[in-house]
Amino acid sequence: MMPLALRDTFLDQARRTPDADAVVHGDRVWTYRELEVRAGRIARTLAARGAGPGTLVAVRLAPGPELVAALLAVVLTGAGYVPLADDDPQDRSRHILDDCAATLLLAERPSDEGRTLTLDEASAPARPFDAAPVRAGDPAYVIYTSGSSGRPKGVLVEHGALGAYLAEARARYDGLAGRTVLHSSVSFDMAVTSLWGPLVSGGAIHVLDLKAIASGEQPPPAATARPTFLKVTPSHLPLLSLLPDPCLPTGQLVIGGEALTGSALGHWRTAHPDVTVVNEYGPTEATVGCCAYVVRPGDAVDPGAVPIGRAFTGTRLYVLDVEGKPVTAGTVGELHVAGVQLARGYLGRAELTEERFVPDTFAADGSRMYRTGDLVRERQDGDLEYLGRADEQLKVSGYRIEPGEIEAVLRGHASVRDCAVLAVGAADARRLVAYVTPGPGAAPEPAALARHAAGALPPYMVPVVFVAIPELPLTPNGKLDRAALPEPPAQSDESGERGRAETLLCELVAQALGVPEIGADADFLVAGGSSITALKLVAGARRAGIRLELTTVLRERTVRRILAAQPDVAPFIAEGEPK
Amino acid sequence: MTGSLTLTPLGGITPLPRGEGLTSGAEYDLGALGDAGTDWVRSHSPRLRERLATDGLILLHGLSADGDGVGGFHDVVRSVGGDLLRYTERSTPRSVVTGNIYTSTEYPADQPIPMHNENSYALSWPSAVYFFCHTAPGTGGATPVADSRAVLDLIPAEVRERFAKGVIYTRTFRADMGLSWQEAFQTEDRADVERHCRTHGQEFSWDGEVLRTRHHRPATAVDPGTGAEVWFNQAHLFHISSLEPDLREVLLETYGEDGLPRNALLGDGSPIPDADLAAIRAAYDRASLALPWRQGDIMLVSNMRMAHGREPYTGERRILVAMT
Repeated sequence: MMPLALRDTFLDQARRTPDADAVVHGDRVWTYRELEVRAGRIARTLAARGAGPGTLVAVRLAPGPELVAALLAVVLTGAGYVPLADDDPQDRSRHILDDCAATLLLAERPSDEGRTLTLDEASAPARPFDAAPVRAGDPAYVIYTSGSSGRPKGVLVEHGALGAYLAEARARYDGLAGRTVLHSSVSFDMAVTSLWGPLVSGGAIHVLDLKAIASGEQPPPAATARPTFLKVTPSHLPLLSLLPDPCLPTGQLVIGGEALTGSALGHWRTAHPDVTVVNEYGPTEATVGCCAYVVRPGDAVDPGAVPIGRAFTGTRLYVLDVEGKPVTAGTVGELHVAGVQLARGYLGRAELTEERFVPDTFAADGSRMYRTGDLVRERQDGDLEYLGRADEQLKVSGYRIEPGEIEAVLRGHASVRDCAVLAVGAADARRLVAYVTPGPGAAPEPAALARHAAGALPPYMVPVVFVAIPELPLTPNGKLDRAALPEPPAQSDESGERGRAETLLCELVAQALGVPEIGADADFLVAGGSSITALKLVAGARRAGIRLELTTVLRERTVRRILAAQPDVAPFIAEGEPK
Repeated sequence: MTGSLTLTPLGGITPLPRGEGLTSGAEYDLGALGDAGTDWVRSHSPRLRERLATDGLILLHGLSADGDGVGGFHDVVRSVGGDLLRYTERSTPRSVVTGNIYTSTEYPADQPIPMHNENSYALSWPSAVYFFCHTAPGTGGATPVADSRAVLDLIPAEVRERFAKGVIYTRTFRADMGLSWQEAFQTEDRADVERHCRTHGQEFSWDGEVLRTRHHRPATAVDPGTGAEVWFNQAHLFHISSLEPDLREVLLETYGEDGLPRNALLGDGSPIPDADLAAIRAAYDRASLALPWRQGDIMLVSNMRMAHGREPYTGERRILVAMT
């Protein structure tokens, strides 16, 4: 049986506990009745302006009761909400608004854009309104996550999936019926638990700025209003140790969003032995959380990885090898998620959706599963353990890189028609190689492409080798045929003057960085250096008779590219003869 | 001035060793108090504040701490100094640890950081700087301190005379050399930078993405804790002579005198003689007292009374900093 949609669960709750606290912020308190009335007034205006099931309404408001009412208003109309962080850069906001094509935008300030409404404009007189029925397949929200094109992509979650998650959260976390701290931006799906969890459980949302309380800029809440539920990421844990007790939960501390270790939990568990800690795992694409591991008071926890536990009701988890076959328990595989919590997909990106949401080969009903890109292993006791990322993101010098982002930048160069970026070489000496096909009448030039890429990408994402080929080889089903790509040039040409210059400069960079050795393709900034490293390299090279320009070193940042940009280096080497 | 003081019979209180007798402070070992260390600090905070103002330096050892100790450090800072300050108008890179606690300057380990009073080149500065040893360095890495009154005394009279008109600080912010203006001013908006410069008496000019600033400050100040005049400027840090000669040469050749990431001039706009800067550095050398770190140590420094620096080090080192 499908759990009730959020709207119906909330209205049901508001009927049962109209006088209970729903939202608390500083000394402002709204009861369920008050919240329902306020949200209802906004909802009437939204509905009159076209919001309803199947449409989207963007919301960009500062954290507080008004934000909760605005989001609830969208839910009451049956529309899906698109939460924007009120401190997002304008570019990001604009991209999201264009991309989701929201019918309306609820914002703090009016704008000349026709669809923008302020809360004052949106509050109609209080009268009941009849909203269209909400179906499980209608959008509940679209939340944007970072994307390979360099632009955030919207994950569309339907009411059925949200209802399923909230039913699970309500059953698992009884602290939601008490007081829940809402402290993180509602533009991330982590906040779904703390935003809607209380409102479907009869609990109250306490809007708190934990950082401001920790630093003393804001007073902590009264000791009598101590929360029962708090959800954080592992990076928040150090902050918790700075907070006074009235901010900290007595029931459950739920941790999600990143890998959690037992040692990171140590301080919390010593200080708060009676609080249940839950490690909740779930990509946005599977609605907040789809499995969890519970650490009860008194449970022992290893200092290493805390398991992510077992699947929620209605969710199926598969650990698969690269061919899509289940691995045996204890073997590492990619986690795939199937079941009621799957998102509909990426808004307006059918191809990407198809790539990540693939047919569930273990279900006969034609349903899908989501390839998480996360590596996991099933432990002997049946709990899953998270081990890291697996998908096509490349890892070079410790950085996670989306090749698509680099490719998009290179395609923007006039001389490039198409391209593919790969990481080549063993793990400790991987290089980013870009294969480019020339545009009409153009001859792509490596140095120009490197500069173009460096203008738009962080240094560790700039390819070190560019190979021009007439066409990108494709497999019969139209995917890049990696095996058919030519070998990139060898890592290093150790012969001749240039080879010796390279060796010497590598030694100088290593010296400046205080490391034993460093490759010709290592970016000195990425390797922990600074502009001082560049200064030292130039000064050291001069002592050895090689004249480098500081500006070239700062711009190129790897020995190979520095040498390529300074074609007159070799003669100096011949004269100086350092060794 | 005395290095030993007894606020309460704690045991384990020892006077600090005194560098040429010029710099001293108070040292407490709170190890014997166990968990009550933080309470002791809280209940003695008025006295600690008083001693910080008059002695300029307090070292706390053995404060028992939960977890990584950052919480305990935060408590001590708040008890003694009140609200923590943000680190604005940056001259070196740092990261926020939590709230307004920062890592100490992220500067290459093999380079010493010369003695200085925090933000003495700016219009306002913190009254106290607090250090916490989260991870003690392998070798080296002490945070030396020097009495700013002693430094003033040790600088030859003719040098002080030349500095009577103050110091002009010049900075050039570039994306790839030193700090970018965005990092230094913690904003992406040029208008913010311009507002800051105007309200802080700084001239500025833009050259594409390159920002140049210039401002004039006195070379000395009066420490309110003791009423004494103290040497209070960063000419020796800003001046190009703070770099090794061959690095200095490359920078000058690349950017010219007017485009150096940082430089200092005499108050009348004339260059500072290299010999004057050598004399100033020698004065700091003689006055400074190197205090090696032990894990968990907390050091409280009155920013006007004491200059501080950092020795080169090896191994992991994590010293956290707060200011009030």
